[in-house]
Amino acid sequence: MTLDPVLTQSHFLVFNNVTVRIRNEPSDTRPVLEAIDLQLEHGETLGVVGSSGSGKSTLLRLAAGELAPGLVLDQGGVTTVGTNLLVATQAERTSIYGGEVALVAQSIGESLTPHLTVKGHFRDTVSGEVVDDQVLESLAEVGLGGKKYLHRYPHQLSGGERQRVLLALAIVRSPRLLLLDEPTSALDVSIGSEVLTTIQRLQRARGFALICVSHDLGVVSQISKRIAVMNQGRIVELGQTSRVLRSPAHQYTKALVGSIPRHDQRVRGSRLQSNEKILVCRELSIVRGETTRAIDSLDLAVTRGEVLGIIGESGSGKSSLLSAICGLVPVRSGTIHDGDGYDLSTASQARPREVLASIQMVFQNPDDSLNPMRTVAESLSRYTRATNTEMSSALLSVGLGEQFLSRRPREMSGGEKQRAAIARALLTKPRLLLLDEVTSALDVIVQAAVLRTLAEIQHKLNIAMIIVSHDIAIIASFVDRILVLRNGQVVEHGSVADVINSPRDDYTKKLIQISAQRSSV
Amino acid sequence: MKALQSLNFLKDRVLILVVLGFHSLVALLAPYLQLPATDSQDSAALLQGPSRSHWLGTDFLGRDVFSRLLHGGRPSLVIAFSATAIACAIGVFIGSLAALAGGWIDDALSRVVDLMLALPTLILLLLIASFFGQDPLVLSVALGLMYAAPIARVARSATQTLLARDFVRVARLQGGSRISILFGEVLPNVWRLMFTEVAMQFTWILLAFSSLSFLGLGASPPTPEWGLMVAESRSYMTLNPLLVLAPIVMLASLVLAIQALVDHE
Repeated sequence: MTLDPVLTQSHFLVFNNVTVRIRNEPSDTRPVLEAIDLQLEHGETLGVVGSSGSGKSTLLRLAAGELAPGLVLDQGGVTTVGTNLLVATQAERTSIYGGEVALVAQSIGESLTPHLTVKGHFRDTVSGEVVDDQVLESLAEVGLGGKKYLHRYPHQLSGGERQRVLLALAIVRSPRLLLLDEPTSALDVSIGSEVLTTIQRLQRARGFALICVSHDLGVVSQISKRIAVMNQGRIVELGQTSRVLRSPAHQYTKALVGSIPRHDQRVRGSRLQSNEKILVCRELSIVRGETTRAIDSLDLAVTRGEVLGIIGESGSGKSSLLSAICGLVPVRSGTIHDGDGYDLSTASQARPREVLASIQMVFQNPDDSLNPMRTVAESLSRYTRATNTEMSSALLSVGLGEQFLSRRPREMSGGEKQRAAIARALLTKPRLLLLDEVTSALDVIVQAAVLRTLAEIQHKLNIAMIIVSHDIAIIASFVDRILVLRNGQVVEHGSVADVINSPRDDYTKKLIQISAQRSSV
Repeated sequence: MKALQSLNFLKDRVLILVVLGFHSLVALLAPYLQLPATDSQDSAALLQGPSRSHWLGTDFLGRDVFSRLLHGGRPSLVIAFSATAIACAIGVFIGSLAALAGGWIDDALSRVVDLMLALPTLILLLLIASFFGQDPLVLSVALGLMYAAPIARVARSATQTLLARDFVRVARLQGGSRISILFGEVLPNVWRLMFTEVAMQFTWILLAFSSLSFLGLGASPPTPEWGLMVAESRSYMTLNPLLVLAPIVMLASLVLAIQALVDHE
């Protein structure tokens, strides 16, 4: 018996001074990847973290021996046990990796074929005969035991189950390398955490090498011993996860680590409580579609200058509640009033101007909140009729200079667009500002900056806010009072200290535990 | 597969722009070129082949085919532009009104649009032309009405998509009226989403008008028009094939170039 050549080499995968450029771009522009040096051992896990556009997905594809169309390798090479990956044929790669390299892509919604059952997907992957035992075994390994899942279609699976099916598909051919692109970013926090635990268990059992790419330092640090921090196409820091998190050396890593929201660290001081109520809901119910109860019999009061945080997974009704408060979604039953006793169950079109002005909302997606055809000045003044001076000072309060007045959305970054959207909401001088996941589409560093800005605004203008987020760390670091929603019902409600230190509900406990785990690595 | 690959020239942007540029120049400049008059008949030279004095030969009345060919796109283009403008105005109005109003208004308008889509366009056009005559204005309005339905459908869904966008919701929260939101936020963006559909309808209208002319109910003789030229000359096709081929090539190249350009966008 000869020794497997793969096992006799020390490095499993080597990036040697790799530079990748966009085809036909002059050589003085910044490359997509610049001078990447990286080694991966057998069975090792490497986490790659960086903001969008840092080149981390290109790096991941290169590890599979692929280069996206439009990109060219400028210099360097990727070798695995002595073979140049980029010139290797498919067959050679398969023999090197023992089964193909398995890549689990980001958009779990689109990665499964709608008309195929789970079993049908395996038929595509394990070509020829379906080895039932093998399929059942890999499904069981990812936590989908039993035969019941074999005949389900993708739409009959939850997000977490779909991601598990994708994992099972990836490991069924026993790859030596598993590549994960943002494995949890489409999932709720608690489900994402369970998927990560499953991945760790799989790796211990099967011993494959793993590269996991994410914008979320928490995700990466949960499953990898070593991490690479990428910024603008370069690896700016590479080292043991615990070392990098505890004592980051590079400026960018310091900013990144310092920006991670922590549930035990406030970004906003608490204020004196006022007794003047500006929003009162009694037994409020909201129905979405025909019959689905988005919010069921909710009691809630918000006082002037108070910040309330609402946390819940997708489908818990948190966005419906905000939409109902500002009149975009009708109320089914119960009462809802503002501080002057005005009935807020009326639709937004029927509300008088001053009531409309008193409640403003900022939405999640920065690319969607400004009209792409208008300049910022036009967007800000069209309905508020604000003067140039008012607009400039509103922009200044969110940290944007006057020069942004003449910019269009396509000339602005996500963070800048979100700041402009906040400035627009402030122009009507609202008493209550509703913030729906306003930072979740932003990179960590930008997110932290926007949260600091919001804290300043809150302090200066004493506006009441309701912040909705899936991230308990953001909520706990910012708000005065927390409300946890599950399936349209309040499962936990109290001051930050009470909820964080002595949660009663199991779901809350789990969220806090995950958050603690991630920030303590 | 081979056949598909051989259509690759349709993806060549430069070629598309060259063809479209050629057609625009010809349509704009034809009256100013030193060409024989399109209706001057030379009874001594009927149905002749290409020669130095008649580059593409002459037709059955001894008229210069080359001159008629270069002039032949103008009537169709004028009708197609005005009919597309009418179709756009009606289609976008109906579509955005349906999306904005919702409820029974939406249902009623959508059924009307479905009904219009179900009508056989050419037969209806023939009826209209035979009742009301071949006046260009009548034909433009008729074509505009008929081709408004597909535009209305796209406008409705584009408006619905836009109404759900966050910047439209913000406009509602900041007290924008329905009208100001429609004109300020929705319509300017609807146009961007509708470019493809409008350009496609433009080519269909172009073809429909040429078909009408071919059937004798579009442009009337002696107007030089490609569809009419094909109709007039088809009996003499064997004597001078260019009489039929040339107008077909002109019409087909224009339609293909526009559609290929739309595919590119």
